[in-house]
Amino acid sequence: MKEIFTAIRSSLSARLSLAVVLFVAVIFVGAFSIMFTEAQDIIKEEAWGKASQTLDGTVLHIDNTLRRVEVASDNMLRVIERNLEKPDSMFTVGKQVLANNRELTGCSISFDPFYYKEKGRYFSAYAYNDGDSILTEQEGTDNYQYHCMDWYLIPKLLDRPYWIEPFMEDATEGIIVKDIFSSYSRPIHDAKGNSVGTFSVDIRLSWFTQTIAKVKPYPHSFCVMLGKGGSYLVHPDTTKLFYETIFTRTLEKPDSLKTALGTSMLAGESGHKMLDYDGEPCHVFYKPFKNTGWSVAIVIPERDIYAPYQRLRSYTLWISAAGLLLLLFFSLIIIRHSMKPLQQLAEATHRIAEGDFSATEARRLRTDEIGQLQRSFTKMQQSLDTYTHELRSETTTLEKRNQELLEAYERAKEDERMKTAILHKMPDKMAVPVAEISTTAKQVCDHLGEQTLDIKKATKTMRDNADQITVLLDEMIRAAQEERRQTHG
Amino acid sequence: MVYHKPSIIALTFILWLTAGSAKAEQFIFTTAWTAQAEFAGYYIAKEKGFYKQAGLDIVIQHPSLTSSAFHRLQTAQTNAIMMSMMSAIDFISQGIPLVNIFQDSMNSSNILVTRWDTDPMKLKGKKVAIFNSDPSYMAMIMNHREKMNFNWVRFTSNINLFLSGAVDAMMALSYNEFYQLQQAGFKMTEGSIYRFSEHGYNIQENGVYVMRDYYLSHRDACRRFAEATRKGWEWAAAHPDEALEIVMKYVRHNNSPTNFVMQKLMLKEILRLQIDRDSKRREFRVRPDMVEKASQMLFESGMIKRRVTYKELTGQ
Repeated sequence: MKEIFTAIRSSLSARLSLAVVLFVAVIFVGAFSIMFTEAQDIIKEEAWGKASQTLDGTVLHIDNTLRRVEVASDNMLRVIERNLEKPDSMFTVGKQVLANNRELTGCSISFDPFYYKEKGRYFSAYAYNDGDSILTEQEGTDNYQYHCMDWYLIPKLLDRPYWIEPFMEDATEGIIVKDIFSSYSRPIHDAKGNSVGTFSVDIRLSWFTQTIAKVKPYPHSFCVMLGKGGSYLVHPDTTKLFYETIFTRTLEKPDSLKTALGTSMLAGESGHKMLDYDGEPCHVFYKPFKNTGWSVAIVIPERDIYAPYQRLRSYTLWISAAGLLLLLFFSLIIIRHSMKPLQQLAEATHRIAEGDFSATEARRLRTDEIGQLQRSFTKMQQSLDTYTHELRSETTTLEKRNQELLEAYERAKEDERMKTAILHKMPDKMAVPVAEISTTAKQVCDHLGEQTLDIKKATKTMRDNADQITVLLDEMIRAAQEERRQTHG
Repeated sequence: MVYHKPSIIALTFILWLTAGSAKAEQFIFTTAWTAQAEFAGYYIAKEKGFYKQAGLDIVIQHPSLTSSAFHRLQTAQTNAIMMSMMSAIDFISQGIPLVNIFQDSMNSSNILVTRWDTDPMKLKGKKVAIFNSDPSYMAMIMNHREKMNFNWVRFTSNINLFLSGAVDAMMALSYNEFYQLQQAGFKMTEGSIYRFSEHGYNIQENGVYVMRDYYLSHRDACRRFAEATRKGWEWAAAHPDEALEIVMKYVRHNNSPTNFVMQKLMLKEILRLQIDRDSKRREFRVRPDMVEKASQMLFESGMIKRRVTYKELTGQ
């Protein structure tokens, strides 16, 4: 890694390329952020629309079917109320109800205790479709006290029609019938407007739950339907059906989001909420049924909703990354190509720094700034070369002169050394002839012109002493030369 | 004494065969309701072999909407049934000779829950839903004492009637309907709840009853049943998680319309109700003072024609 950074630091083209890529990346990030945010909003809106449409369609379809049941019940209620004085006719009416409405599985026309004194405490004309034919029976007994059943009590006490909470039919002796029913019950009134019993029709909800369970706008989405008490009437986990409500788990482990969702659904509201489902964030879109008080919800995992967005983001990121790498690659090549003259100039500069001022190879020069630089550099190089040659020539001359001076200097030094040696070697005996010469010269000077002066003698004395001095000097020179020889080895 | 080895081996083998073939005494017990944690002690006593150890071949039955526990006892389909102390006193006062052989509950679980966040004492003349299977003696006594003039609505089961708004209040059990209401998202405040045990109506509830004839002829079996059941409950209290697993096994087998969370809450509350307020212990006994109090309240409110004594109730 350190080597990479060092290489980047030492390469202008790498630095320039990285700067370009970085700049482009920053622009990409800015542009993509805006694009992703917009895309997310669009996808979210689309999901909202899709979920709402699906819910609306499902609820409308089921509401219409349930409405048909309500209308059929309304129509037959008038027949019942017109024939209250004929209790046995209720069986015929019940059969007629089922014959005219194939989606109905049973029908109870039930009356208050002792409404018909001759019938006793219980009188409930029950008609049911056993698959082949429509049968009837009087269903009230001490073992089946319908007066205490929800389907009988609730509409009577409320004095209005009521959709009974769906139930799994519990046949006699605990035999469980694995089918789901609901009843639409309404009070029966006599001519005076007094409530005298309940008219109830049963509808099998298998089609209903299957219809809802099939609603799957997204691959992992699923539907949940709640009854009035929050019970799951439709749920992908069938063990929860009827036995569990949306609030059950919250009693053990409080979950404010789920509680809020359940409360809102039970309040008959439509809307959207987010909550974790099995640890996965999910969007829940819910809507109530018009008449039943039940509510249906589509649970869509967030990953499903944002799957197109995630794909788009993934593709974009990969393409961007690849693009940036390509950009880096081509930037490097282009910049390196553009910088090649500079590189050559740098190499030439290096050579110049090492003293090589020779002219670069003849190459095609560019016309741009780098070409100008190349030309200027070549010119500078040539000038430098000429100057260097001149300088070298002058240097050679100077060196030659210096050598001569040095040799002269050496000779002078030698002379000086010899002089010093002569002076050092001059013996005292030279003083005598010198003194005699000096004395003789003085006598000559003092007695010049006098007859007493023997010039010849004086001259001879001075010559003899001079010869003596010359002999001494030769000896001294020889001695000095000998000493120098010894000194220089 | 001279022992003959082969004879001893033969004798041991015969004894082993005899012991193996000795049939445990069958004892049919019908609970008060469908399979749930309310009966955990019985399930555990059976599953853990406490009944078997007591020499009983126990059969646990659950009533259905069309076949009540009392109907089964009357028609000899069962040897013992579970019912509340007040129900038993009522039946005994009517001349039906019942004997308590085991007492589960030490406290009242009865609650009156109102809609609209209303003070229960301000419900005079309002519609109150009571169980059809159990006469809700507490509510009736309170109605009589407090002159509430409630308009009774008898219902079979569950909370749909109450949630529909067809009634103003309903009787609930603290271990069952109370949690069902919570499970349905129904918001209750303390001001809208009337806990009978907190207002001088703390009367023991469920116990196991047999007909006097059976009791007289099977005293020992009844005693062994009580001992084994007690062991079952003590084990449940000591191992609530395992107990819950056993309960859920019965729940699933009987297809009871409930779930794990409800059963967990129920078991916890049932175990709490078993602790006597005075002794702070699980006593599993009928308290004479409570029999007297219950009998007195029922008599005063005109629900029974004569008082029933502790001795009568316990077969002494």
